[in-house]
Amino acid sequence: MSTSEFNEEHLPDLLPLYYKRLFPHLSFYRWLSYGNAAVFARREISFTLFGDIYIRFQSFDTHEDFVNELQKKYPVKIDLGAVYYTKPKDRSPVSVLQPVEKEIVFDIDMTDYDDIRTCCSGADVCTKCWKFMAIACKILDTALREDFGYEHILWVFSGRRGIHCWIADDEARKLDDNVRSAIAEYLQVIRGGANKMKKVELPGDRIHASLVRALSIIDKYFVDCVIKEQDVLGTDERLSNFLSIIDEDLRSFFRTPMKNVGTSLERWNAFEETFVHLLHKNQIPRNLKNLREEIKLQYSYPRLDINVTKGVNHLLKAPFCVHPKSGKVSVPFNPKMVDNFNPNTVPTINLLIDEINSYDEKTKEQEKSLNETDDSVIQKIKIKDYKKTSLLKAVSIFEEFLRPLEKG
Amino acid sequence: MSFYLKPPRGLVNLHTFQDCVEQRLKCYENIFHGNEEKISSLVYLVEDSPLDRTGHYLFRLLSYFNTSFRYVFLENEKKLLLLRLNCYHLEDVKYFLKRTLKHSRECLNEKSIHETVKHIYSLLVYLCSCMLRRDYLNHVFMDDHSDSDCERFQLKVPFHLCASLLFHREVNLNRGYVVIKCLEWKKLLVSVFETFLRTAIKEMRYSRNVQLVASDDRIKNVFKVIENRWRKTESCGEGSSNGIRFNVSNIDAESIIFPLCMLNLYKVLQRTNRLSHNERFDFSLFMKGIGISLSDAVRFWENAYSKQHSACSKCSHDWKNNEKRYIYGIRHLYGLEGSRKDYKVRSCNYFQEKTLSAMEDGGCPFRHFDDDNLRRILKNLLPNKEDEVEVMIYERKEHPGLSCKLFQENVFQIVTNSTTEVACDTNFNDPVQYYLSLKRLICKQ
Repeated sequence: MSTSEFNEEHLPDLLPLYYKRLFPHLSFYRWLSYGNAAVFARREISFTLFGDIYIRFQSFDTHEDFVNELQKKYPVKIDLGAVYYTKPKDRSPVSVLQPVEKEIVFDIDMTDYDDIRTCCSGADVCTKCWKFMAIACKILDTALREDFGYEHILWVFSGRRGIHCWIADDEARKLDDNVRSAIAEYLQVIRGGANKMKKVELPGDRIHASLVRALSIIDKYFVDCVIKEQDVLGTDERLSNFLSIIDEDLRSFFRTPMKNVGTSLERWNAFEETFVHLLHKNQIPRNLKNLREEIKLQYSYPRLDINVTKGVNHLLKAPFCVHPKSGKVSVPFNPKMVDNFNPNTVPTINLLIDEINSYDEKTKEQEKSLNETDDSVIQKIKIKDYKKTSLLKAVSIFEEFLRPLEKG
Repeated sequence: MSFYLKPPRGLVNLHTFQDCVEQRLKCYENIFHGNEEKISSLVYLVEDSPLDRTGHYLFRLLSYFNTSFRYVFLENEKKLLLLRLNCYHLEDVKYFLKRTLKHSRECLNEKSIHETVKHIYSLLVYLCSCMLRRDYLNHVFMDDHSDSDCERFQLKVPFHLCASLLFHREVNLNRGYVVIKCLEWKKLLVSVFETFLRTAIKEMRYSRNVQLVASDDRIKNVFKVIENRWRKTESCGEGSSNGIRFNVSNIDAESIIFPLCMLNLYKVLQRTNRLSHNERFDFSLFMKGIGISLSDAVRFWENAYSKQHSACSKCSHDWKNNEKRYIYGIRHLYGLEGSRKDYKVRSCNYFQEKTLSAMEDGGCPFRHFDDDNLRRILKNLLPNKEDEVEVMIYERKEHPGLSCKLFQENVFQIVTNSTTEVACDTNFNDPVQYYLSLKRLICKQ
């Protein structure tokens, strides 16, 4: 069965086929066992089935058990939890499971950018606002490698409007809630909540080295993507939002020169010129010396949901799930190529099924024509199904992530 | 200074034992009030003396059993350590480093110590050895060290062993190591001390002695003494089992006497018909605490979540498709599912200390809202009280809780149409207590 346009109602028919032929369960198993079957057996894997049936605290002793259950239940969503001391499925009703290890995870959701992105809002996402994700991915990936020394990092498209990051380094998996909180707070620069207009504070003379590095990444995108493309200063309302970040005492100095010009770029230039001018006249208070950097960070630095990162037992959606609303597969992507990643062309389940079907059709035809002309034995090379589809790239990236993990 | 790596040995009589507790409690109180000079007169707190160790180890034992006291214990022991470090002259520093080095080496030689603790002992051996070198001591203590950025004698520590230094980006990181500059050695030791205590407390779950000791009546008695003194830090959220009943159909009218944090969440819910997970969790616990029954709660959420969510809300789920999940969640909070824990609303301290992400709605408004937003909301809720609003905005910078109390008083005056000053006997540590104390006052009127 195939449809060119994804329709939620067809999911119950498409999913069984997806899990049978496309979901890379062996790679998945290789990842989560980290070379030790016992580790896989104690991992919590929860399923959400159709009809909003949620099954927690499942675990699977073997790869086979996992595959069988996947194909039997064809879950709408798979969540990964921690590895526990006892197999989650064997837990007694009153006992509290003790976590042993879990990847460190990050979740960046585009809706957290709704106050600054101008092209879309809510569940929508496009190549323009995707730039925010690209900036976030680069900053976070660099920080995790250079500051924390982590190497085994998997980046995954969340399926609709965000990205997830999984750190699989051995030492990382063993960290407790407290250290995870410390990492999350170190990386969380944008704070304050919905009722605080100024969300980044950089008091003091010096800016932390990791933020200096982040700003150098942001500077590559800021004028073109944020100021011009997103047009963040292009309307009165947006200008007003921008000005509300500036201290009331200073605001009036900027309002007039910025209002006097029309385009977003002109307004940003007016802001910078005014700031430098005030700086020279010693009219910028000490705690606002870094105002330009604070604003750039507020408009571009990754916005993390740190609750996801803090808890060892926090569940997060697994890679290669199909998003029930968009039909898109949560595919891994290469952080170095994140600028070219297009959330709109992510393979959907119906596209993949279509591709499998048409490949099968072609093979059948080829075999038929070969049979008519040649009686020799045809060597049937069994190619994994995903290789016949747009999922190939995603699985290759996943394999790239697995290879160094398995070596070490 | 002491890392308290080794427990006290020998015998102590019960009276002295109880005095150790008393003195340590006094010490904590003096730290809290900033009266550091008074601590030096506490005889039982002579550094690393057997009685000092006795007090510390007893408090450590309690913090294993009582997780809210654990926070108090960690904070105060860290402050005590820092106080001691700040008093040191060069000879004192050398003495403590040598002793810590000796103890760490002895601990490493003990059999059956867990990997996690072993790493900390090894780190202490490394740190003390580095710092005991003549050139290090000479440079840090003797040379003119007015340049706080001096990095001549860097120490490199794996970040997970001094994680507390990361919270406010106080240090630089390099490939998993925190780079400690010369003058940061005190900060480093305090951070490692915290890591050590947390690890040691965790390891206590594997010790049979711990369970044995805790069943001793004399120990139980001193635990009670300590807990009574620090009860104010515990969240005493009142559960629905308290017998209070709240009619949920009245919630709109009653909301004017909600604390501002919960009123804010209620308004977001009214505006968008949705609350994100953490906010829904906190508001549900508040509802439970003020006496809303399980069935009323389910109906309340069903009502909200059956409505269309507005485009700017954070959640795209609805009641029709996700009913089971929401009901399970609410039942879980009421202790009827899962681990059947009786959840209580979180404390004011929690809401104040919470870090909010970019667009989160939760937290304590008196701590988190900026001046403009807070002023706007307060002026709206408290008409004709501009002066009082300005006082609240001024006070909240240092004492958000005090500001909230002022808010409560002003709400009381508006609701009862009076100008009487509310006696300061209403004391609240969480949103439920705020509501119940205000309600009681109003009913008395």
